[in-house]
Amino acid sequence: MQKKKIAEGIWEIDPTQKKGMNVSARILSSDKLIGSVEDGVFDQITNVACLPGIVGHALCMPDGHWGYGFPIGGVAAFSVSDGVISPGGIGFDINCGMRVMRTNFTLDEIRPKIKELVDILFKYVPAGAGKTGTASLDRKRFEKVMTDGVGWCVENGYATRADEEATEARGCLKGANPDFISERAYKRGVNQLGTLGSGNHYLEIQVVRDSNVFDEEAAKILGIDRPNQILVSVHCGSRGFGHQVATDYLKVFEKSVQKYGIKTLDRELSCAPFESDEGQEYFAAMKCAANNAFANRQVITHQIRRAFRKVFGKSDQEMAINLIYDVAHNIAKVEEYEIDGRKQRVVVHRKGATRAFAAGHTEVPSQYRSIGQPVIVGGSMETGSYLLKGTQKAMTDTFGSTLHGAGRTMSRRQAKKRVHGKALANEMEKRGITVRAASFSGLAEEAGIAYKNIDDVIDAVVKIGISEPIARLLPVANIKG
Amino acid sequence: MPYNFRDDIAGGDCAVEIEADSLEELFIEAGKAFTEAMVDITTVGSDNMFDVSLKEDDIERLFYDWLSELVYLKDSASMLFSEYEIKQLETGKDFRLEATVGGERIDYDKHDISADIKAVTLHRFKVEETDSGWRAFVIFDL
Repeated sequence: MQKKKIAEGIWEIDPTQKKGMNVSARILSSDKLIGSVEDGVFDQITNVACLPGIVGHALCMPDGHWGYGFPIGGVAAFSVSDGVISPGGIGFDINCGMRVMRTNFTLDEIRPKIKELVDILFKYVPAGAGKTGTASLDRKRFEKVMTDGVGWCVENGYATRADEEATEARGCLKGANPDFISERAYKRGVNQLGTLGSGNHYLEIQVVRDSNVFDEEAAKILGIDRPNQILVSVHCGSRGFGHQVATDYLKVFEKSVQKYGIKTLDRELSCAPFESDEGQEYFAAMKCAANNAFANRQVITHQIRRAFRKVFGKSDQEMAINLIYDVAHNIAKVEEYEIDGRKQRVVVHRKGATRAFAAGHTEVPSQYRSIGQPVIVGGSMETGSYLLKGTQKAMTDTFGSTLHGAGRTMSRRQAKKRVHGKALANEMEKRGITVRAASFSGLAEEAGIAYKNIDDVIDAVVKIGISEPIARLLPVANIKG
Repeated sequence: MPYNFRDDIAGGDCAVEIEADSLEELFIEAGKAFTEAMVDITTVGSDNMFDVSLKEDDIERLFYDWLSELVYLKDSASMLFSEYEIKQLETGKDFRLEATVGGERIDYDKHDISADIKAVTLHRFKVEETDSGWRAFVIFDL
């Protein structure tokens, strides 16, 4: 498959390269990274380009890697009237996403109590497979979580109005309908609210060094306003509830492709016309899972505040653990863009890609509208993360989207063969990063060597122009599921 | 080993090839691979038994349902499984499976769970008869 570099950081595969491609595919990368992009990514993104009703280009972000259906890092938009919706373009972990909180603490204040803090956080925020949350829910209450998301958290004392304001879509996608949720999804999810999960999900205490603030004005607006300030990040999603919703509808859509005569090159890309009954039912169910994920991260935030209060004996006002932003990176949303010279409503699928709206967009919370939407990029637990902001170029070139993480370069099993979990934890401790993990072998799978260099992927998106850096966050302590 | 984890495919998730002499064995070995993808199966007991009863239109869908059922049971009952018994596997007009799985509740003092399977993907999903028996390929989402 031939790819042609058409601009700085952009490689294009034109529709002649694979039978059935409706649009070209574009890989966003850099001279340094493009050689490491796996063949599976090119195959998958060109499969996406074959889906009905796709508009613009099928896109893959610089942290992209081989997934299932869409590649991880995949972004594609489909016409609302002629296009499709596909669970394979969203992922099983619906609304897997990131949130980051600012605090009034500095590194010097945290350091003496870091072990105690990590122990309490590990207790208050259940991590790992099979763990259940503290919120007690029955079907009726769980349905309110599905329909109201963070709104339910506000009503039930888990969130402030400010938390709600600082969450994508105010933490509630309208149109969520529990009638389209199976009993199985309910049973898998009902006990998991407020849990991290496993895999690459984590809770991290981070520090912002002065030298790592790249945009002082934007940082100040986000509440990053003191030297060596402590931030707290959370990466997780809709847990078993979302996984079951996606599984249920993948089976429905396997039949839909036959019913509607849709040809896909990968069964994981099974889909239905967006406006069909099946498409709308999945969209309403996906919103239930997305709202559950917003609420999940919010209940975790509530538990984080409890943990800090217990360890430091300070009030909420004194600590000011305030949500900077919460953003999804596995989701489908209806958005409007100018495409081929006219405004079109499209269903944007982001799978391992973050919304990155430019300054002035009405969807950006009012407090950030002058700078652009905050973007949270989670790196490996050893190397740190970034806060970026969305740009106008993202609006015109990538359906308001950017990267979501560092991107894997090594399989989990390879990482486990090369790294011993306990030794890694000791080594990180020596470097000033305290780690608690549900499992040491799970920790080894998330070692820094398994990921691309985050500076390289950030450099790529900045050069392409779809995001701008605000600050780099370095890990101080990590709790891994 | 009748199953082989493929590190070279979809490295963030877990790709596995399974080969077996018979279809029954293919289902059993896939169950073992499912557990082994998360934890050392030799550390998992089998005190709790669950019955599985499935019906589908073809063998691939039945195999997909089998693995999805294991994901569902794992999450809804917080279980890991070590014993898989196929009581009846019917192919022909209808495709039916009657099975029993044995496992124990997740216990972090006993089980070093490196990963948690979220779902069974259909990317490159395959179940096929070969000259020597049966072969399947599946990628679990981690």
